[in-house]
Amino acid sequence: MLAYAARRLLIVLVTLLVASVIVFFVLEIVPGDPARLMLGLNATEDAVRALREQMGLNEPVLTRYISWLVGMARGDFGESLTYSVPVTELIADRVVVSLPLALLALGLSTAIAIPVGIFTAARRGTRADTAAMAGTQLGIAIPNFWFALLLVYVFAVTLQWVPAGGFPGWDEGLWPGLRALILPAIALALPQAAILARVARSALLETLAEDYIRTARAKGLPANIVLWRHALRNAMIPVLTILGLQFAFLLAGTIIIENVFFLPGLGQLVFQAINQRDLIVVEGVVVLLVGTVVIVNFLVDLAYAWADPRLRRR
Amino acid sequence: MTAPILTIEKLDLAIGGAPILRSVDMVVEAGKVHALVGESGSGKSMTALTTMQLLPHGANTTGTLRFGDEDLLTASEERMCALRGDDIGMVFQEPMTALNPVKTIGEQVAEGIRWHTGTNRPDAEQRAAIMLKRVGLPTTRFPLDRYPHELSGGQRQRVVIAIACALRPKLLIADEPTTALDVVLQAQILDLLRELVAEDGMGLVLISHDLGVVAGMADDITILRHGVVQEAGHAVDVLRRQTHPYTRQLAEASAHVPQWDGRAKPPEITALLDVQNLVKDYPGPRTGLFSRGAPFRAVDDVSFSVPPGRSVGLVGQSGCGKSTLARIVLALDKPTSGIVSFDGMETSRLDDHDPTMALARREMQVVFQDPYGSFNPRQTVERLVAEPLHLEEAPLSKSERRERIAFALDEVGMPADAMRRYPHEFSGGQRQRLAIARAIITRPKLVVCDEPVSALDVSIRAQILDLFAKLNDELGLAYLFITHDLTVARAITHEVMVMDHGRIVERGATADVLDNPQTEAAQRLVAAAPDLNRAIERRAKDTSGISSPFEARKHPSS
Repeated sequence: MLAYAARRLLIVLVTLLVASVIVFFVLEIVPGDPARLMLGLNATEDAVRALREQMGLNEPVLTRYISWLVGMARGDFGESLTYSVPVTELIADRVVVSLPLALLALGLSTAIAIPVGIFTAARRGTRADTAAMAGTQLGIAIPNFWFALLLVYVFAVTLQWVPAGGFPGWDEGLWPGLRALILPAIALALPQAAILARVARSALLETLAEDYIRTARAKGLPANIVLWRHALRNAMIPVLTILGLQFAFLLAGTIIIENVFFLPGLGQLVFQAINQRDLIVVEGVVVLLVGTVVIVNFLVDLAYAWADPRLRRR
Repeated sequence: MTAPILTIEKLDLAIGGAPILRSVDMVVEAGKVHALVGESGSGKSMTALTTMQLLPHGANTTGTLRFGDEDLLTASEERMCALRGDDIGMVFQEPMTALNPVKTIGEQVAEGIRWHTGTNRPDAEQRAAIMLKRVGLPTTRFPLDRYPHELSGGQRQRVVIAIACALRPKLLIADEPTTALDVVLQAQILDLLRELVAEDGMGLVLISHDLGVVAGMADDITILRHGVVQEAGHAVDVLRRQTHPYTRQLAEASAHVPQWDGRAKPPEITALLDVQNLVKDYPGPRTGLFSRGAPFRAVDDVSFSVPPGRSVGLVGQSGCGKSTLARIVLALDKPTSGIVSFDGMETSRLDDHDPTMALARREMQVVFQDPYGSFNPRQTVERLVAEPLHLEEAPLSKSERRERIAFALDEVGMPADAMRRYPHEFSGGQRQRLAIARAIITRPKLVVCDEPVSALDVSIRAQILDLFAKLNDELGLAYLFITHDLTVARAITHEVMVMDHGRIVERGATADVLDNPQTEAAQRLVAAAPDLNRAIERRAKDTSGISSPFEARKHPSS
C-alpha cells in the first residue's frame, strides 16, 4: 500500500512538471508582448524595452522557465500586469471564496446523491425509483443559472432567509460567510448530485448482480444488509471517479453562478484576466487548477486502493 | 431409512409465465448425497434457488417444498434469512466470482457465523479459522486477512464451502461446484464435500451435468430434463442399468467417441507446426517502489511439432501454461525466447504487419471455449463468419464471399439462411458450430482449439466432437486441442502432450499415455479424471448384494 502511494506520488510530481512546461510554453507563444500591454498603447519603445529588461523577458526561455518554476515553488506567481499586485495575493483572495464554495457544493451533492443512489438501487423498478430517476433527469436538464435565479427569488427575495448575493468575507465570522455561499452551493450541487446519483445507482445495480451478492444472500443476510455491507464499497470506484472530476469543475468552472451571486471567485478572476490579457494571472490560476486536479486525482487513486484491495499491488 | 431433510412434492415453477419446473418430486436424506442431473436449461439450478427462496423476480411456485416439517414455499423472508447460511448452505459454480473482492476471507467466513449466532468478532473469527482448516486452508498458510484475489480458483471454492458449512447446516446445496475447476482440483473438492457429509451427517444436493462425477459421489439421483423428472432412484442402479432412454442417452453422450477415419492414419513425417525451446516469462509482481519479484516462467523450454492433418492434445491442470503456449503458437504473444515455425514461416520472428504473417494467420485459426464471448452480438452471422476473410491476399468478390460463407456453414452443419441472423438467436452448440465455421472459412491447415467443448452439455459436446472428426477427415485439418478433460482428449486426438508447470513432461499416442501414464503429473490427471464406468464398477462392488435389480429404490442403509 505504501509503495502504491509512493508510486502514485511520483506520477503526481512528473505530471505537475509536464503540466508546468505546457502552461509556460503555451503562454509563451500566445501573441502579444506583456510589457507593451502593461504600458498601454502610448508607451515609447524605450519604456517598453526597459520594462522588458526589468521583467526579465530578454533572458533565454529556459532561464525564465526555471526562475518561474523556482518562484512558484516559493509561492511567488509573479505580479499582475493590470493590477500591479502579486498574483499570489489575488488568487488567495479568491480561493477563500471558491474553495469553501466548491467543498460545500461537493459535500451537498454527495450527501444528496449517495442516499438517492442507494434508495433507488434498492427499490429498482418501483414507482419511487422511477420518480427519483425522473427527478435526476430534471436536475441535469435545468440550467443551473436559471435554478440559481429561482433560489434567489424564493429564499432571498421572498423569504429573505439569506442574502441575494455578494460576499461579506470571513472577517465577520463563519456564519455570514456561509450564509452567502449556501444558495450558490445548492445551485452548483443540484446538477452534480443528479449525475452522481445516476452513476451511484447504476454502479450499485451492476454490483448487486454479481455472484458474491448471491453468496452473501445464501449466508442468510437480508437484502438491505447485503447492499450496505457487500455492494456499496464495490460500487464506489465509478462514484469516486466522478467525484474527482466534479471537484475540479466546481473550483473554477463556476463563473456563471459566481456572476449570478456577485461572488468574487476564481472563475471571475480568470475571466477578467483573459479579457485583459493579464497572462501572468491566467498562468497562476491555471497552474493552481492543474495542481488541484492532479492532487485530487491522487487522492482519488488512494481512495480506489482503499475501496479495492486488488489495486494496492499495482 | 432416515428421516428426509428435504421433501419436494409436485413442485411447479414458472418465471414470468414461462414454465421452468413441472411437478418435480425429490427427497433428500440426512448423510446422503443426492445428485440432481440434467443438461443446461433443465431446471437444476432453479430447483436449488427455489429451495433457498432466492428466485428472480416474477417467479411463481406451487406444490410443496418441506425442509424438515416446514414448508419453505410459504415461509416468510425473515424465516428464510434465519435458515439460509445456518441450516441450509449453498455452494456455487464459479469460485472466481463467488467471493466479495474487497473483504478478507476471514471476514467473509466469520460474517455468517456472527450474523446467525450473535457471537463477538474474535469468537467468530476463531470458528472461521477452524472451519477454514477443515476445508484445507489452515491459517498458518492462509491467514484470515487474505483477500480472495490472493487465492487460486480451487482455494476460493474451499472458502465458499467454508462459508456454506461454517454452521454445520443440515442441508448443503452444491450447484456445479467443480465444473469451473480442472480435474485434479475437482477430485479434491469432491473429496472434501464427501468428508463433510460423512462427518456432519448433512444432506448434500449435488447439482451436476457430469455423470462421471455423479457416479462417484451420489447415493440417490434425480434426472431432470426440461423441468420434468425423467428418472429417480438409487444412483448406482440408475446409472448401471440405464433403463430410461434419456439416462442412456446421457451416458452414451458422455463417453462418446466419434467415428473417425483419420484416427488410424499414420502421421506424416513433415512438421506443419514446429516449436523449439520456447520460453515465455511474465514480469514478477511488484515488491517495492521500483523493484519486481522474479519473473514468472509460464512456458519453460517447450519443443514439439504437429504434422499436417494430425490432432495433438495438450492436457494439464489450470495454470500449467497451456493457454500461454497456445497464444504464442497463434502469434498473439511474443515468446521470450525460442522459435515457432508454421508451414515454413518463422512466425515468432514476424511482426504483425508482415504480409507473411497474414498468410500464417490465414492458415492457422482458433476456436475458443466460450462461443458467445467470442462473437460481437451486434453483427450478423454473415459478418462474423466472414471475419477472417480480410486476411485473403486479394479481396473476394461478393459472390465468392457468399460462396465461401455458405460452404463453411454447410461444413459445420448449419443452414445457409443462418447468415442473416444474430448470435443470440442460436443455442450454445450452434454458436460453437458458427465459431468453427469462422475458423475454417480461410481453409486453414491448423486449428488451435482452446477448451472448445468444455462449456457444452454432453449431448452437444458429442455432436461437436463428431464435427471436429469430420472436418479432420474432409479438410485434413490439424488440431492443437487444449483440454483438461481426458475423455475429450481420448475422443479426438492422435497424440497427447501433458503439460505441468510450463514444461511438457510426457508425450505419446493418446491411448498409451492415458492408459499407462509414466510421469507423476500425467498419473495425477488420469487418476483424478471422473469416469462413469469405472465409478459404477467400484461403487457396485462396495454395495454388492444389498441392492438388487428388483429393489431399485431401497437404499443400503448405514
